[in-house]
Amino acid sequence: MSYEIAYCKWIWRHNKRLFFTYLLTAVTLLLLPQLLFPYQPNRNSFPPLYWSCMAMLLINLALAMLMPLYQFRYLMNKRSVDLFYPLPIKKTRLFWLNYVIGAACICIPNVLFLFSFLWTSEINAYIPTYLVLTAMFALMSLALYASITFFVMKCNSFLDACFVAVAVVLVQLLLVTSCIALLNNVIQEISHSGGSINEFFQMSYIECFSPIMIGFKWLIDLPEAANDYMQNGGNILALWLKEADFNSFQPIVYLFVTVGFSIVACRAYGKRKGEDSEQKTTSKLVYPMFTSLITCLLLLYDSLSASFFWVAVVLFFVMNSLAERKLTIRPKMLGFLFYGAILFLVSNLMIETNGFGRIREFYEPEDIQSVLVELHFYEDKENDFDASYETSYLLMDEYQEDQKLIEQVTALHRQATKESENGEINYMNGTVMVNYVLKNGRTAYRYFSISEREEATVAQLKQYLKQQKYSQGEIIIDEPDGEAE
Amino acid sequence: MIEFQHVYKFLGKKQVLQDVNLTIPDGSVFGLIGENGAGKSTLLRLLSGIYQCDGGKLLLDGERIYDNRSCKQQILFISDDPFQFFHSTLADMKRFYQDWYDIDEALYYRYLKLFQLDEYKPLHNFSKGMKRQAFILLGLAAAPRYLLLDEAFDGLDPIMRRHFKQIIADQIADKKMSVIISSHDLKELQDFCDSFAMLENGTIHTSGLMNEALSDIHHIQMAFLSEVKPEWFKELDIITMQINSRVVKLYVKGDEARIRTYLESLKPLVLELLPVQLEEMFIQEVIHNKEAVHHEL
Repeated sequence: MSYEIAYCKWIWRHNKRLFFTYLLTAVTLLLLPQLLFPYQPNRNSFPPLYWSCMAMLLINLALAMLMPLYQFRYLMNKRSVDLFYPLPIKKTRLFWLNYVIGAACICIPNVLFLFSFLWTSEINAYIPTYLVLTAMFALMSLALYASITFFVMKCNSFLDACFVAVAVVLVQLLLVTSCIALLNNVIQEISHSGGSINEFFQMSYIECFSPIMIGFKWLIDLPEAANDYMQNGGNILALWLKEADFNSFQPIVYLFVTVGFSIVACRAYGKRKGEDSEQKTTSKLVYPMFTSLITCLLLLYDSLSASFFWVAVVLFFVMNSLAERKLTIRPKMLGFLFYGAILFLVSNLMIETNGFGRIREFYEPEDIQSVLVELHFYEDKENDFDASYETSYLLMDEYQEDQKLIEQVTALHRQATKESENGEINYMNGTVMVNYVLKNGRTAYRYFSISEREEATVAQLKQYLKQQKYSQGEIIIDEPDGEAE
Repeated sequence: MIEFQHVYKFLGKKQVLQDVNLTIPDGSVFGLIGENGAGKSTLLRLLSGIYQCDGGKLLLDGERIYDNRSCKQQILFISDDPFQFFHSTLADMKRFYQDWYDIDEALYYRYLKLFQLDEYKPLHNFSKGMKRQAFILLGLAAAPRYLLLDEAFDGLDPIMRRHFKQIIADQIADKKMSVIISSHDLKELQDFCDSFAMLENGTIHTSGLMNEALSDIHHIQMAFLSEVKPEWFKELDIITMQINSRVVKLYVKGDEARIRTYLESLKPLVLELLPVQLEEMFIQEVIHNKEAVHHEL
């Protein structure tokens, strides 16, 4: 144990100046907003300690990124490996010592923040909220710290380690935003049939995979909760937890991520060879994985945007050149450019040509065997303020061969499409989904918006559907409450 | 006692050490000699626990060295380009080493005075030679059981070399320390190494006691009445042979008396057996091996 204590003492001796500078910066950033709070002109605009909270979040995140680089920088240099590896201490012990010291440095601003409660008497009601926030920030930063540490263990040079620290954060942000974008699209489709995203899962489950995103979200939600508290009273913690869409899944995820990555980081450290330092980083978990993830997510995030496409291509080139330490065009770069260009061109071509002409293809009533219609429209109740917008659905449960219905639907389809082409739809009155089964055996699916101009046709269609009792039933959704009746 | 048993080491895809079998006795100065890239530094890094063997065993008193706390405590490695912390002084480095090794303060200050180094001057302001002195000083003051010195004499002036040799000799006598040293300065090694190993292309070419090895190789100059024929010397274990008409220079391995008897039977006009230096031996062995490889090709 004496060696471990000796090592900690040495760390302290060697870093005390840096530590005091860091402490001074942290104290200034955390306490200054609190000291200035009483002099703030509009004191009700933000809850007390809000800017200290923001500073703490930024310090936490910055440290989570920097501490793995600082604590394990000796692995990236041959000469320092020559000094540290022969020391009479087990490799795993040395890892845990460095790791725990790094983690402790991350937790220090949180402890300072807790102590700073003593400074401001105006925050009594906020104390439980700040306690939870502090604990969550610490846990979130530790999860980020653990994951970056693991990937740093796979790097052989300091430049690669810096790349990894930035890439981990970037990938989390991209992954979460891409997932949300994807799910929003999927849910949007589901919602036409009366579904709601909350029926499937909470967005906070996904958001929590990006600590930076969730950290800022928590903070942004705090003034809302504070405002609610000032107006209606109650428990600020409960208000904030509700506002922030907080669930117990988040701390559990961070805890698992922290523990899991800490263990695998230790194993990676144990397997790391002394001769690896200053060599080319060859682990597939560094450049290949992060380059692919970042660029592919960028491409998928918005395949229609030329700027996204070029940013992805340039990033792919830069990251590969960084990995190879050479500015040369490689076959995989050309491959990425090729496949990216195909994705970009096909996506844009689909838009420009209206699905290669498919969605501008109309069918004559005599060519249609049967139709299945789904009406989705809004009704404005001018006299009822609380339910000014209602969304209702008319659903058919099976294909109908009624010729009159087919004629009405095709007429509506042509009219709506024509208006859409002329850009005449200013106000959307609703949407129609039509599934056609043609006599030649083909099927077609159309989804189009309807405006006020087609109101008469829609009313006829609606009336017709109700009379014929084709529909499963009318579902009315009141927008303000979002609950189905 | 340190034992290498069929040790293999790869750096990337390149095989740096191949089937190394070596025993390093305690209380001695062991020299590692070899060309650049022969594997001397790799061997020292294996010994210090920086590298792990890819095959075979590397044992200290029967225990594996790699990641073994008790073994590593007995070994201190001073690399050819030692690392110093940012803006650190010799005093800072002494405090660092003090946490891990038993640094003898009295010895440290005695050597500090002898080498006339400023312990509070940042090490990055030291010259290459002074920096080397500083780290060797730390190694000697720590007096580990095994002190590993990589390219130890590079950048040291002759007076310093003399001081170091004397101090190392004292330490071996007083503290039973063993020094394993690699160097290109073979003249220096010859003077104070008890035993040595010559590495070539990752294998141990020759090893053993310095005196025995040197006494086993003979530098012979001979002159004859008639032109010298190479086949006259077929009976001998020749390392290199240089024939210039009626004069021949030979480097021969073997028993001196037997060689002298054989050569006298050839009735030379002049026969001289000259003492062989380590550097000569190294050069002749390297030339011999390269020629052998050339012939094979």
